[in-house]
Amino acid sequence: MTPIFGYDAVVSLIVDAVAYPIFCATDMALRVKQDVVLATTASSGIARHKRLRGLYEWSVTTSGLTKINNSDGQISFFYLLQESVRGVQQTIQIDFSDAEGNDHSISGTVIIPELGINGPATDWSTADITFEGTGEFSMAAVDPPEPAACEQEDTLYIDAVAGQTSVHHDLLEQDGVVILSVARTGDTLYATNGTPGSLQFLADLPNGDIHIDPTVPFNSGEWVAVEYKIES
Amino acid sequence: MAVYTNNYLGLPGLDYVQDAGLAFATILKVTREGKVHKKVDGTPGSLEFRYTSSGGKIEFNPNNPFRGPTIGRPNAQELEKISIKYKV
Repeated sequence: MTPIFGYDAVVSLIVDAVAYPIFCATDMALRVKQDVVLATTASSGIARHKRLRGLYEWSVTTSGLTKINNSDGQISFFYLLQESVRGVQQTIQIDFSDAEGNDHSISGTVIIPELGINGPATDWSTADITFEGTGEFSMAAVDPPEPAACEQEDTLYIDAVAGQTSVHHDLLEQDGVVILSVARTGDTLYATNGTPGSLQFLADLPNGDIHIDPTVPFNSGEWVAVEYKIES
Repeated sequence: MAVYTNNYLGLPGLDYVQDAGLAFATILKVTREGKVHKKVDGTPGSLEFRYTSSGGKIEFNPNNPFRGPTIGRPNAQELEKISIKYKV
């Protein structure tokens, strides 16, 4: 999964059940602050103990360039500046997405304690606004992390028996074995699903066998190197 | 676990490659000039190698040192290619 680029974190105001991006924002920040109380006791040792009271507060700030009105689908600073808008509770939504199409949304009811706009003589005007949550925000549950699939990789050197056309190793009987490479006394063999020919091998994994060209059995002193991994 | 492959050019006249990055690793595959070699504990013979974990050393058949001129600057094309796949 790829990181979230800032461009893909969008704060929107909900108006008549439709989400409109606030300004042409260039920055946003969501902060959640939980109430903490001290819980140190005589048996706490030398470090303070703390616990959560179960209360929290949250706020969102965003800033960016703005236009005079909302005509292009972005919420203008001046729309928000109106007493009829800033003076009542609003609903906002923050949408996060990434380049792979994953997304996550946070929404909640807010009040607007602070907003402003500046106008430097030689640059664009920028507006900023602070939303303070009133009540809980809502968002979809995020699954806890799962351990990454465990892969073991190793190499077996199996001495061949002269006259035989296969080798066996108990470790190749394990579930999840994947053959990475096979070499016969130095020469790399290539996998086949049928009867192996010259420089080919057939892996019979449930039985832990590696078969070679049946017309060219092993000579005395030959060996087979089997590089494998186990996927779980 | 991370798996890496290091490629080396054999120094003419030597029969080993040594790299601190190979120390305390698990050697998965060693090829010399494309030929897969077998890991052994004793003195390596033909198509065999010995790995010394603490020094990160891969030794080949002492009777068959790496080819190439031992005097002057060798041409890379003349040198033997060794590939070592390992995990740490």
